[in-house]
Amino acid sequence: MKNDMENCATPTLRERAGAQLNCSAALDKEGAATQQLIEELRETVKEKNRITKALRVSETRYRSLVESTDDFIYLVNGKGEYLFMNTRTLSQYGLSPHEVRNKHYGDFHDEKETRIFMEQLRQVFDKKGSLVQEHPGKNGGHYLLTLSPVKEPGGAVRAVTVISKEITAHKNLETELMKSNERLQQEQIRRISLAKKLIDLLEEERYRIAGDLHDQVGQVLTSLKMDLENIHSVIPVRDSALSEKIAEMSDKARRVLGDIKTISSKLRPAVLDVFGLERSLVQLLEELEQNGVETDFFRRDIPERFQPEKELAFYRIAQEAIQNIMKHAKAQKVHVNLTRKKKTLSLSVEDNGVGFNPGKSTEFSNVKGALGLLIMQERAFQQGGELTIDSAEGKGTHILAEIPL
Amino acid sequence: MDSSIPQSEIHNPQSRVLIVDDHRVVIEGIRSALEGEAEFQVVGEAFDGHQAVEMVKVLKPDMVIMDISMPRLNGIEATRKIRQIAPHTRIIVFTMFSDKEYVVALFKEGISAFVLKEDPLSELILALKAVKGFGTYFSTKAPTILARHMESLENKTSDKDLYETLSPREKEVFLLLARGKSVKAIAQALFISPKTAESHRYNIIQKLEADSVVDLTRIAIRRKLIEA
Repeated sequence: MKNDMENCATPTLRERAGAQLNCSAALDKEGAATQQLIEELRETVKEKNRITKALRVSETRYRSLVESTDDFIYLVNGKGEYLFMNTRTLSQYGLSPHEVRNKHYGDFHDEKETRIFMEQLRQVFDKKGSLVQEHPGKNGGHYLLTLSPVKEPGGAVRAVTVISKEITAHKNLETELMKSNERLQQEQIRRISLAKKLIDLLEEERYRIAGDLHDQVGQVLTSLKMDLENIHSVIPVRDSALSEKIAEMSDKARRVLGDIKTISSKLRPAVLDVFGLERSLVQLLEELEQNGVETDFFRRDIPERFQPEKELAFYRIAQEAIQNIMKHAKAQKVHVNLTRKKKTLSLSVEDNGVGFNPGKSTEFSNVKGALGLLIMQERAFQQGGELTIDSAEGKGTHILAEIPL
Repeated sequence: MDSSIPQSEIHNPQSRVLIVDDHRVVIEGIRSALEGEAEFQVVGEAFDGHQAVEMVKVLKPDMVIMDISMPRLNGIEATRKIRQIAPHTRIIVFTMFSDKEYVVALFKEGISAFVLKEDPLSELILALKAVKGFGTYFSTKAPTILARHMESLENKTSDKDLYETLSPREKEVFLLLARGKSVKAIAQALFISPKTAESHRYNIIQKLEADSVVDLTRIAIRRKLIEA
């Protein structure tokens, strides 16, 4: 039976008519089965042809992929001998495909390059994994080298595929970016230190002017006023015109003295320096009360004194917030909280006034009041803290300064 | 009469005065004003707090007219030291500072009188006379300054409704917290930054003397602000 089938099957493929006659006996017995086998074989052949065709298409595709690229693609063995080069590589070295065999990496590269390449090759063989490395080429170019192992079915590395891609343009761009980034960073540092210097300078100047006003101008005025009063006390009663004039003068001196005191206290509040933040905030709020704004000041766990520059930052932020309330907010009530959470001190100033659109305000310093907000932010930032402004038209304003102690 | 008062001063009609001020012109002014007053004899001048303390040790004056803002040792510190070494020496502060903080701190240190430099000089003479009779004297401005201080003390100690100390925004946040909303959800609902919302949460708990957010719910139910 088995022989019958083989005898029938083979000639049928070669010479259909004769075979059909020779095998007529078998056909009688096994007709249907044989016919089926013939069909199967026909299908197999068709399939094989299809696969061959597909393989050819695929190979063409791969070849065009390898050949059309600008990248250098080649295959080397463990000794650094070339097994294959793509067209780009061939043309670079002036070779034709059949000249590739027996050529070594060292034939086209100098000693140092070859040594580095052989080392990389060894790594790929040892680690059985890919290696990606940048390396400088000739004429200042830059290349990205990818070495991938070609493995045998058992897993051992047989050869290494190398793809060398020129990345000079990328590299130059990257260098440009790095440089410009560095410039930006330096610019940023300069700006931060400039902002700090400006605020420090502002404070120094205010401190100096407040001191001069209080200690120099104030004292001389005091003595002038006292002189006038002393003169007034010795003028004979009958000279009422002169007496009146002198009294008027000492009154003026007294008023100027009061003004100087107010100005110098605004420039640099002595209460802050002598008594600390909490009491100086109470004083600020009293000014609001005197302007008809109700205030509520909640504080808890506040150290009586802490770093003077931080006390000053909080004070100036509160001063600016309160000044804004008096100038713009039309508020009836202001709530101030001064609380401590772990090592961070928080000051919040909330009013029920007209509010504003903070997005609009901080973008450009020419918007009314925005410079003040920027400086508040800067002061918090300089002390390692943060300033958060929440406001909306008709919703009041909430200013939160958080500074670590 | 107080038995601790030195007999010498009771029998001596003239009080011995030390003037302390870092400005010569001011000292001169005070001197001229005192020239016509037979009850007072200027026994010395000091230009800073340190010098004042040293001179009190030596001269043992009855009174010191003391400036506040001075180099080396300020008037408050100098007052403290003088009160320790010479408790009978009475101190009349003569200053430009009218901040209530100074007035309160100085009376705590035990000064006898407080006069502002902007007041008429006659106030200083009145103060000296009052202190000579072992009384005290406030510049006309000082009573208002002290009244303000008393007021703020009252506010502090009065038994306020804690809930009413919350700001309008805090009350809104309080209700949302009591209803179990997260800080993040509250920030979104009220269009405020998460930082601000978190700060509200923290301050509300502090103000209401609560232990946690759960406590807030309890307070809200008790106040019938939310359903149990």
